[in-house]
Amino acid sequence: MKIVYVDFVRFTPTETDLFEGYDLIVPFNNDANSDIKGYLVKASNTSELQKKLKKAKGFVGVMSEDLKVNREAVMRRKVCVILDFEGRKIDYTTIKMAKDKDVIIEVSLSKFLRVKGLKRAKLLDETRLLLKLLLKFKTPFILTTGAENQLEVRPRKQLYRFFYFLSKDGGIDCVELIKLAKENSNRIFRKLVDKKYIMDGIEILDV
Amino acid sequence: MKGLPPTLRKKRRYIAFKIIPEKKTKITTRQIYNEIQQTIQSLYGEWYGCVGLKLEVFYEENSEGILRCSRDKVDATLAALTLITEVENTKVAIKTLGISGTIKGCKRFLNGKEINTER
Repeated sequence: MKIVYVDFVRFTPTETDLFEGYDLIVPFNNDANSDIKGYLVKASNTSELQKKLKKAKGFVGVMSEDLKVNREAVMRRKVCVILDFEGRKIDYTTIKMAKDKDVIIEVSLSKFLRVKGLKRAKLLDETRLLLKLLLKFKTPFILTTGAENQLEVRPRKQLYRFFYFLSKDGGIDCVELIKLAKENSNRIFRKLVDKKYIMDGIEILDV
Repeated sequence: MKGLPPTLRKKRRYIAFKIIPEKKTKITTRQIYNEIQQTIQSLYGEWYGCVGLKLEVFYEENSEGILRCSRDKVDATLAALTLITEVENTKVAIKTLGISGTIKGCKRFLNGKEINTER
């Protein structure tokens, strides 16, 4: 089976050779004019999240700095993905629950591009720990660019190589990590594009 | 003094890359070399920061170049290139085009810069 690669961005993408290697780009920017597939929900507390989720439809992604909001989002049926940025807080329990509820955890590259020095060092360390937990619980996750503008995008090979090195350096099973990331990317692609796909193991066959 | 035999020499890798700037600004060889070196220093520090870096070629007109590093530090160099966002106050993105064991092999990845094999 051919592996397809999905990327999540926060702007309306235009053609650039930086998008090399991706089969589907999902923009999360709530722009009414574009043909969006992602629905971005930004919330600072749980009541705001619940309010915004009522209007949400499609492929919903939640972005929040609050740990409680992320934990609440994982428990909601409408939420498909917990989006990543430099201020995201996520813990052991949330990751474990995300596995049960089949919510995807995004691990993005662009957060490393927006910070420098000690902040970046801390982020790298946090990400290594996150990847370790994601592998331990086999929680669905995706490696993306998470770009907010055109210049934060990196080609697919470059992105995977970066996370390969990051996990290898942190003593994580890098081969398994990349394999799982590719599998999840495939699943998301089918969920968004393939109309016959319902869930893992269940799909409409031709009569 | 006789040189080291090939098996004992330091193995090198050549990385072809392209710079995509925000505006149409010309980036010089010195600027890009300094930026790569600073990023590697800030990422890995003095202890791991020696990756055998050398900017072999850089075509300023189309912002493409070839970077040399030691074979066991290829991943570290690529990670550093991925994290570069700015060169002399100009926002940029660096796209790696390919990796090769020789400069000649690496030039295949650059647009219209095929190596002249005639001597």
